Amino acid sequence: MGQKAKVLVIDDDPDILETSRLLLESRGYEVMTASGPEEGTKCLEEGRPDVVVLDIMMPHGTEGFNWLSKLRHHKDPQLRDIPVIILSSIHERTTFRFHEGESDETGEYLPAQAFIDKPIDPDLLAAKIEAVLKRS
Amino acid sequence: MNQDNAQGAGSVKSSSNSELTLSQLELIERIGWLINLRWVAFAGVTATILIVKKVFVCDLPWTKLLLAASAIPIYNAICLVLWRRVRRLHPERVGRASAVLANVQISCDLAVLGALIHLSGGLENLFGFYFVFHMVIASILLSKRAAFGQATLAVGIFWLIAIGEYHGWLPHYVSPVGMGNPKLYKDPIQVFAACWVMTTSLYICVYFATSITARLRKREQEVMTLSKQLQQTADSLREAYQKLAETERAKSKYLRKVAHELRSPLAAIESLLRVVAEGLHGEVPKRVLNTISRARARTQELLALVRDLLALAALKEAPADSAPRCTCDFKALLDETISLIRPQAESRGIRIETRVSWDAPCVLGNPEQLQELLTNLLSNAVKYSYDGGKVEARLSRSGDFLKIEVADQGIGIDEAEQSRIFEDFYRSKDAREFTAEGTGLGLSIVKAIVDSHGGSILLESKKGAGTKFTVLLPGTDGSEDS
Repeated sequence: MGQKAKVLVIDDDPDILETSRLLLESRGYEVMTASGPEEGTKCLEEGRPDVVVLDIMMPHGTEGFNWLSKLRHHKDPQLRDIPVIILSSIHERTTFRFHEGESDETGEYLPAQAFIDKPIDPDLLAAKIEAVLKRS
Repeated sequence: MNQDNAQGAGSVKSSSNSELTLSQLELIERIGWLINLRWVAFAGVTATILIVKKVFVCDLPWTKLLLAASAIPIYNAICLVLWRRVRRLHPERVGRASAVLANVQISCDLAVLGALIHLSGGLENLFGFYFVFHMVIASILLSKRAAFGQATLAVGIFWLIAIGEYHGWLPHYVSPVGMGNPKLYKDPIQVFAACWVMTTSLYICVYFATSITARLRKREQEVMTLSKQLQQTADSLREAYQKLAETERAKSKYLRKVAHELRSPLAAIESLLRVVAEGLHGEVPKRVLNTISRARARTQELLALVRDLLALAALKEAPADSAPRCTCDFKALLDETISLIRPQAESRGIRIETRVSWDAPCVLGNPEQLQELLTNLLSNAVKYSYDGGKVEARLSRSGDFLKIEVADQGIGIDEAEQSRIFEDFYRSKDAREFTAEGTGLGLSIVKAIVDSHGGSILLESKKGAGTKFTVLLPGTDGSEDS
């Protein structure tokens, strides 16, 4: 395998940030971390990652949804289409469906490429990263 | 029976919001009926007079008869106008007015009937028995006292005709359809006998009719009271059920919040332990690694429990139809579920066999929940199978339902415990002894999912011989996605 991808992880839990960084780095990825939406946008624009791993439930509720929605309307087309993997401990019923690979055509599905439940299984996360990068 | 019909029945609300008794309500309904009936009676009386005049050769005062008959539409029209006026202008007086109007109408009817009988043969006239009809109507519609009052008026009129004709105060006309003896009105014994028969007939008729009506009113009132009580009981039960459902939802919401709060730190702990176990902070001594593995295993147990609690709370909290639904092909769901469970089964030499009927219908439901249902049933079957055993999953059609059967040859469930296995956190004694793994929520979740999809679940099990779950879910032809 050649150059591993650059991954941006956005989560308000510092432990999750640290462990996901260590686990992904141990599998050869370059990892940037952000502890909130604003920092996430900054890292996104400065670091230009290949893929984003995004937490949904941050301190002020479902900020991850809003961040994702804003990303899909970003002025930079390269950033706008960046693949996103939703990382969350809320695999509960919401009005959104977590079907992987679904587009946002209906407005009902999350405009994300994959979904992974917490706690992080690094091998599964790596497999999802590879899969979404392959698709994009 | 001294119950007064008009007052005896219970009261109900009329459209004008004044309190009306059942009898008054019936009377109000019947006033219109009485007025309409009288138009028919007028037509009948007039036709009879004209036919008799044409058919029989007799000397009756035809003009007087027609004049008497013509009184019917006159007072009927007056009653109609008054009734409409009261209903429009004084709806609060409708109850009282209907009783007065009914009394006046029946009294007028009796007077006209008396006049017609006198002008067409007096005592000889067989139409004298028409008084009975008025007594029946009065007994049903009026109070008991008023009905006897009307009977007294009818008797008085009859006696007046008889005595008036007997003494020659009133002229006697020979009836063409009389009782055969044209001199009957002059025979004192016959006159007295006819009056006596008429008097007793009318009073007995009123007595019977009012007694039966009073009894029927009483029954009607009892039924009405019971129906009101039943309605009140149903209302309070509904209210209690709503409160209970609300409490259950609040409980589930609380549970979900707690579970969610637990899950985030647990997920972080698991990840932190993994980082240490993978040696990302440097090499870990074997004994420490062993301890960390055990800590991770316990954390994963807790995570599984929290995951199940979240799933169950979400199912119980949400109304049955709130989750998004689409047409789910169970064949695909089954394949996907088995691919997830197969590694675990194969590691213990357990075979999973599937049989899918070509006509197994699709199900309109929530795909995540339905997959959870299959996962729980299949993972249970594998978990409680003996090493090297066999698990069978079948999909078929049963009428309009999809039939899902998951059977194993495992430890089975003791008959005494079978009724409790769908309870939250319940694990049978044998299950606990067989494996420590399990939260006791899997089948509760299955049951909640089956219920929310309008299905049913059946358990067949024999201790030591295996267990079979049969789930029936309403099938769909795939044309009703929501």
